[in-house]
Amino acid sequence: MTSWAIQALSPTNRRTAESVVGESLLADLGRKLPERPPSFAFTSRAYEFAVSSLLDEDDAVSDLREAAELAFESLRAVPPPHGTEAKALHLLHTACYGVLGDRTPDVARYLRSISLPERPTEGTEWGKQVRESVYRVWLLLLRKDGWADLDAVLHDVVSLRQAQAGAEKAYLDAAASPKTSAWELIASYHLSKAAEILAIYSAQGSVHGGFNIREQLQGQFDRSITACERAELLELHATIRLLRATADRMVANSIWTVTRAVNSRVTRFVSQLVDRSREKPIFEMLPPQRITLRENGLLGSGHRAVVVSLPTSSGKTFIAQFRILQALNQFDADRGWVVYIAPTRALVNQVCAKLRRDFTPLGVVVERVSPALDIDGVEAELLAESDPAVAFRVLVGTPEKIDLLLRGGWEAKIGRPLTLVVVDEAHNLSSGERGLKLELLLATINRECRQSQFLLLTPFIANGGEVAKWLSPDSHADMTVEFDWRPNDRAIAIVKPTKGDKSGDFNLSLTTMHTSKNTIEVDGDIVLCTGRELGLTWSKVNNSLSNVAAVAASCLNRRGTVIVVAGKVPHTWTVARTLANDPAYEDKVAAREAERGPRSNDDIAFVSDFVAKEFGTDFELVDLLKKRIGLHHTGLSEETRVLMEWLTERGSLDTLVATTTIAQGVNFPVSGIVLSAHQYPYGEDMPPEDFWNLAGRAARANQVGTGIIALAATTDERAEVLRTYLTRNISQLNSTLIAMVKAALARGGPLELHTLYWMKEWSAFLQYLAHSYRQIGDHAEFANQIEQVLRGSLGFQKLRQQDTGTANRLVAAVHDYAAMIRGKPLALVDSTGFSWESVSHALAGVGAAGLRAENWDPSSLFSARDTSLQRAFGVLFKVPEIRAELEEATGGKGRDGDLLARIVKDWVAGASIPDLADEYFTVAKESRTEAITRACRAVYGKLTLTASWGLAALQTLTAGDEVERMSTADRKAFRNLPSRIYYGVNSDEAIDLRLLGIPRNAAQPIATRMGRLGVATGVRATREALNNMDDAAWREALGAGGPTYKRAWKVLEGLE
Amino acid sequence: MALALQVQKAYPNDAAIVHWRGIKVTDPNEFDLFLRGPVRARVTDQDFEAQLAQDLQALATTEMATATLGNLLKAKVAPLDWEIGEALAECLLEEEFGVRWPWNENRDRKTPRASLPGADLVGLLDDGDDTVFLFGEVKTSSDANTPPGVLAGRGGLINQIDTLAISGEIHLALVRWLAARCKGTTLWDKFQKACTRYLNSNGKDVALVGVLLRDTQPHLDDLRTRGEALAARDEQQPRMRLDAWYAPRVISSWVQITMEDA
Repeated sequence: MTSWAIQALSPTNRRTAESVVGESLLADLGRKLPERPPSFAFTSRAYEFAVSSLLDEDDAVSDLREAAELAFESLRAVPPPHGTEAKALHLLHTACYGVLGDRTPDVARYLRSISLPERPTEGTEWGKQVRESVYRVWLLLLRKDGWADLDAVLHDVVSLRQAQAGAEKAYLDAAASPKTSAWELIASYHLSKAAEILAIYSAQGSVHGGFNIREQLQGQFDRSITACERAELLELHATIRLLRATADRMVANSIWTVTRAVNSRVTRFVSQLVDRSREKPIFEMLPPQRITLRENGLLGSGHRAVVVSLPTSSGKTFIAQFRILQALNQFDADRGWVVYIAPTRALVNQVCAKLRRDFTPLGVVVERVSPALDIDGVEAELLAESDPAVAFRVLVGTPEKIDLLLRGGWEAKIGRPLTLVVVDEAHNLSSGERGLKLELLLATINRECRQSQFLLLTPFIANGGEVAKWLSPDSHADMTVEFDWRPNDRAIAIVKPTKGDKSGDFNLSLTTMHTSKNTIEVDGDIVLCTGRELGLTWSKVNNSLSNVAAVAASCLNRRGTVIVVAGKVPHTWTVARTLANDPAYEDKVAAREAERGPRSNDDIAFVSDFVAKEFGTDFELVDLLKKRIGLHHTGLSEETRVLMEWLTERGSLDTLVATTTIAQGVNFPVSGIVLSAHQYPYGEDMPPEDFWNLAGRAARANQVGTGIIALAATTDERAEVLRTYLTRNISQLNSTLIAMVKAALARGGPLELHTLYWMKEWSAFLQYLAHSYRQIGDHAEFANQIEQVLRGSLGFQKLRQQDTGTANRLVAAVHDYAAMIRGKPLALVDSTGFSWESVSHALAGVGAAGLRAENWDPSSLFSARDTSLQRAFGVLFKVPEIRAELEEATGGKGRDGDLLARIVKDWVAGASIPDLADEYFTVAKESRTEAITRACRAVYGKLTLTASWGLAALQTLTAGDEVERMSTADRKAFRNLPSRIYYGVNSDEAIDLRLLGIPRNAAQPIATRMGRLGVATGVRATREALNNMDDAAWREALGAGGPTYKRAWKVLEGLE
Repeated sequence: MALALQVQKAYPNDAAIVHWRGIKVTDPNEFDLFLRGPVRARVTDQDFEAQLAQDLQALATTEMATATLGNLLKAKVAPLDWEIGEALAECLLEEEFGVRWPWNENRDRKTPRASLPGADLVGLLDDGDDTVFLFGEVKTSSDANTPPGVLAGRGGLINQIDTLAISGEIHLALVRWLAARCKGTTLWDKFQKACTRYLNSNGKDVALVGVLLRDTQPHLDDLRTRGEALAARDEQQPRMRLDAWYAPRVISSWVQITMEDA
């Protein structure tokens, strides 16, 4: 629906206005602004009128939002007029439209980017003084830049009262129309009081003990409007009506309103969020948060399963925090716990840091588990903690780890109920094997955890309701925010070079694209550069997407950090080198400093020092960083990647060159994203959800400026492919199961599940069956319940609806499979994460290899003479769940158990990545950078996770009940062995430190120091000792590099 | 609607000309009754004092001082000539052309004798089944010169009308105001029609009127120069017209006549 007033405008006028707005938002790209057509002012006023006509209509919410957004954009595109009063009014109206258009982050950015009119000086004519003061206090309220703005509002209102006595009478005596002036003063006095009321409410959630904020405001506004009507003060009347609606929306957005009357824990949380001690107090919710929590009713909702589908950067984690507090309160007597599932280690760390920061003051303990697929001794201690003061209430982890944990019976061992499962980036349910695992994990929890509730957070998906209903047919809700909320302005463009006038020269132009997401569109191309940018010639750019992307980044990064997304790791290095070899680099630095002043080098120096320590001073990234170019791909350590993210977030980098994996969920505020590839390395298009997720990183909620997402093309054909790509719609969230079953049937022959175990997704499915079988515990009963067990998955439910024949064949196949696993020790399936078929092969393998429990001796396993590890890998190379990764861990040298064992032993013994690169990953004619990249991909990408998982699995297969008979210390050491591989350290003390986020190179030296000082072992004591270590202590442990490692630790843990 | 006054068209002679005219009110007694009737109703408000007390009481909640404002607003002040003039023009347009003013529907909200900034008149004019906005300016003059001084110059009637024709800012203010006054009343339909025409036409499809109120003998030269120029514009938008009304009573007596026996 669009309001009748906007419909009355000609489409040409609307399109012209849209283009003018787009031009102004992209003005900083250097294109000369065309003269504004006369129709723009008319259209802009028509939008203002449309808002005015909708203000008092209760059932026109979306019409009002649309009209207000258009008015906001149009007014913002016009420079504020000169003159204090006119400027103040322009800003005030613009901001009001922005709030009513639910564009609050843009309003804050807008008001922060323009200096607000000063406080009127004493002696200014009283009428003018009152008007200017009142406009100013409202602008401060709308900007709400921390406590200073709210304090200023209260101060200014009081000052106005104090100044009245001396000035008012003289002003009225001299007025040409005294009565009109009197009414104007009355209207303004009410407005000033309303501002005071709203400021107090924003700060403390009540006004003079009353919570009836709306009524209090309404009283003042009604009187103010009456005064305008008495004297026919047209302009003021319009402004006040606008302010009245805006104030009402601000009350709705207020964190106090949204969270009122939920529970005391939530109220305490809110008090802490607005506290004066916070650097950035949170007074207001973002519109999608308000809509989800209050209007859609997530707070106070009794639904067991809720899907919250919101645009990227709507602050989903924040929404989840309130739901978590609610769930904790609900099951407080049982000390219920919440699990927060995030897809990557980086996100796990990020979420854990945030939750810890916010929840620790509330006495809610937050812990995380590593993605390593075993529960090591340290984690076992942490999970089993029974002291209520320190036992976790929120646990953060990856889906695979949580799956292992719950299938391993940890809910019972924890002894408290799992009450809420939060799934972040839940659209991953659709993505292949990992998606299926997640789906089956949720199905398992749903079956087995009595108190479990679900909160699934996704960027926009089309079938949220269906997904919620799957998890709870009787009590579910789809809380999709229906309107296309934009946290900021974005343009999606194709960037393409054309031949220049002079030989060798080229031009690079942006063409904005039409998308389904209301992105900026302007007519014509925007030329980013001409000549030979980056020293490249036409022949170098006309067929190289990497070079086009590098040039685009070079043109765009003066606006703020740009991420270049390349298809493959080697391409990232190419782009980075091209940027670093810019012949005009020094000139650009000088120009930038002249424009914006010198930039601090501290962050860059710290990170490049860290990188040098990890990879050697000659590692290329060290010098790239000094030119403010960062890299982010699997050829770097996880820690280095997190530091790259940190530099990006702080605006310290000009360009971050990354692979497409960056699309997965890390919170990056950047001004631009340039894609040289829109496909994943295996050639598949990035799904639209991922693309828009990535695009959502451009100029996020707290970032200034228009976000630009540029897709590189060298030919018209590719431009056309990209154009088509951009029109693809967001898909439904579908289970992998359906495609999997259909593919298996398409291969012909009967559906025999036990023959499919070598495919990872089928292994996951078979494990789900084995687990359910084991839980039901009786063959006949399982046979009866097969349909139910299958119906636990989203995929089977849909398959039943869509294709009964296929569903029936699957049921029959499960029947057959059940007969095959009958009587088998299926607990091993749950504890290894392998299918029963893999378990049985591995059992045969360890027998043949002569591996027994005593082989897992912490004192000898990783020594050069011990062959256990070599034999173990020989067995594991035959296990389909991990063999591909293990092969890759050898750097592509195939199934060489001996080689892998040597790499692992060196790694555990503390060999650095450069050492490993020299020893194992150097290939003739390749550079050292390539060797290090290969080493990182092998070690961090494959070896740490897979080899530790494999070892843990073999321990389980060989040790049986012996583990339970071990002493506590021996058991911990035994369980910790896989973690030695995972963390790359060779002592239990170092593992404690690694779990606490200490970088690998620092873990052993600090452990040694702590041992010397007699610090007790265990996570709690270690954590306390760490917190007490000052720079000198770090230096003592690590030498000159101590402070670098200390800072790296703080950054990695989200403490800085 | 029929005009409750006897009038004579004074000029121009050509009956086909509709963009400008001079009209003489012939009967002084009828004129007096008109002033004391609809015009007085427009410039006074019986309920005002009771409401004022409430307004002042509410003002106290702002924690600002109220005494000065209270005294000023309670003081009774007689209307001024031009105020009577504007009310008279509104009443004449309403009676002759059926122009609807927003205060028709909202008598209670209006304080006596407020004056709109940007335009003296803002209302709705029927055009067949359709409606357009009517914006206008009013000047009252006893000047013996023809044309009178109030027609020319920056603040003159002609310039005001020309400004009104092109100033989008003023239009926005007037339309917004009119919308707020018409919303929820029987006028809303008419308002929407007029507004749609306005928006469809890029702000051109409105009616503009300049009203000159005189107490002199009718004289063609009062409007001729501008009137002929208007006639030459023919059907161009916005539509404009100029009316000069020649009253049988001197302007300086209007206030007294209007408020007699009040």
